[in-house]
Amino acid sequence: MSFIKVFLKVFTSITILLLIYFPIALVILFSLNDSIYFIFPFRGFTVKWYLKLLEDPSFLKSIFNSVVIALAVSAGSLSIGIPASFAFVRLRRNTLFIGFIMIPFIIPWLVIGVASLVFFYTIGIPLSILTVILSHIVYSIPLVVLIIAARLISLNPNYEKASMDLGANQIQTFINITFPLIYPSIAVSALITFLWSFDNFIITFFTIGSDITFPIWVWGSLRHPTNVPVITAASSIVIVVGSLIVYLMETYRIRRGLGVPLII
Amino acid sequence: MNLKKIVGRKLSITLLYSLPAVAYLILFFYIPLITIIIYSFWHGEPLYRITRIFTLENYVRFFTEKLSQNVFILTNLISIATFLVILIVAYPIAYFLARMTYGDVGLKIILLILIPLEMNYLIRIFAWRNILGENGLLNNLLMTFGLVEQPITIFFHSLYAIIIVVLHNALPYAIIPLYITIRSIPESLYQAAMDLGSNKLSVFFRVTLPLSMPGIAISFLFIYVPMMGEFAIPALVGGKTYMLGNFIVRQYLTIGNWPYASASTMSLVLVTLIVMFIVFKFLGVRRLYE
Repeated sequence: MSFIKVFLKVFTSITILLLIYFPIALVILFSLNDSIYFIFPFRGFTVKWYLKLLEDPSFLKSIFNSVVIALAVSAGSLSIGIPASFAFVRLRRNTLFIGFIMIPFIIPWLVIGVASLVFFYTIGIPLSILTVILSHIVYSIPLVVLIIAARLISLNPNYEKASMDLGANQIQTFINITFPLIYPSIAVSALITFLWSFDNFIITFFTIGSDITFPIWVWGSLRHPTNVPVITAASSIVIVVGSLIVYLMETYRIRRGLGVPLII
Repeated sequence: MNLKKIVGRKLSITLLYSLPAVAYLILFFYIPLITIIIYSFWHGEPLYRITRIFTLENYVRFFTEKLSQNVFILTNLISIATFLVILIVAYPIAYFLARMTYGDVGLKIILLILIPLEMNYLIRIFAWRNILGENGLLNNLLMTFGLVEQPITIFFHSLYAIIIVVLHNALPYAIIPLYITIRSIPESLYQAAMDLGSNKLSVFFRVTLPLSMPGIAISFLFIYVPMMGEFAIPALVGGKTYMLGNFIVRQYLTIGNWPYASASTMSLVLVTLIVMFIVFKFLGVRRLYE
């Protein structure tokens, strides 16, 4: 047994280090290197790629657009998804409703992208940041419903009944009883929809038109080999900030007992 | 009478809660989907020329033409091969985390895997481009240590590169369901099997593996479904590898035959839904939730 255990331990550690962390660490490492290729030995420490990046107006615009889109998607999908998750849990014959809500989540993103493109074109809405937001909310609603419904199912319904018995109406009950109890799951779904929207490339690619978001900026810059160090610097910033946010969110989630990370 | 009224009111309020989501999804998901279904039955030619007459030719063309058939089969093969590779890597990790760690150590390690992967989709592809590429790190190291004379190219612009990148991307999505199912197998089953004389190998093949089938099924869906619509990874590291996603993107944006592109997309949706149905039906995914 102990041999198997040692083997699995080594296997797990090596996989995590080499497969998951090594490529990402390299990006950060080489963003400080004075060369346009990922090649050892180091040519010397430099921050010039970061300075060059800050002079690039399209990069700053792409980050700004991505944040705006992600905030709008987060707000929109929460305001639609929170009521839906109540219906998800409380409806008695809900199989049809579950299927209806979940299908956008289980089909490939490419389909949402092209369907939105054709739809917006056909009814004559010009492609812009707005269409990106509208198309991101489609997959965010089921995501929000999954996370919040998982919490609602485990909620004791007697709390709400007691509150109603004591004379509170529906809205008061929600604000004073239900909301504080499900607050962690709301916070987590707000953050996950934000992150996924910020990171989304496949749907954005079809619905962005001539505008720019961060993934679209990376995609465009990849065509020019000389841009590699600049992308590396931009990526390093996003990796560091993003990982910090994800780390805080997931530890919060484990502490609150919100189950396994991500969507389950 | 009074009770019925209250029940009726509660039900209608619950229905009311579901209205915004239902309305939104109808407007921005189901109607767009119906739009491309309608397009898929029209006659189309390149450069966005569309004739609005009903025809089945787009579907016939998709399933009979050599190019689309090959792309379709190749995409399925790549998706399944990728799944198998990921399963081989993920299963030992999930098994280790579920059976050989205590408390929430397993969860914390999954978290460690997840942190860099919940974001940075294109950045990860970019990183692998720079590692596997012709002027990349792998070749740099191999040549520095004198293992090869010329830069090796099999890892760049190839199928292997796609599998490596997807392995990196999708690993947690395979580990998490496997971890949950293996963790939920009661310890007493192992003891019973051991008491009845099984050795460790047969315990694994007759207890652990069959009971973790739902987890394998879920991770299959998590990998297979996105892979069927993937176009960025093959475009950036796949070289000549041409997957269904690239095919559809090209038909929509470059060639501009929207009816044919829509028929291809709908075929993709149909196949995805059928595969999902089969997996849910036969592999007993329901058990996971009971």
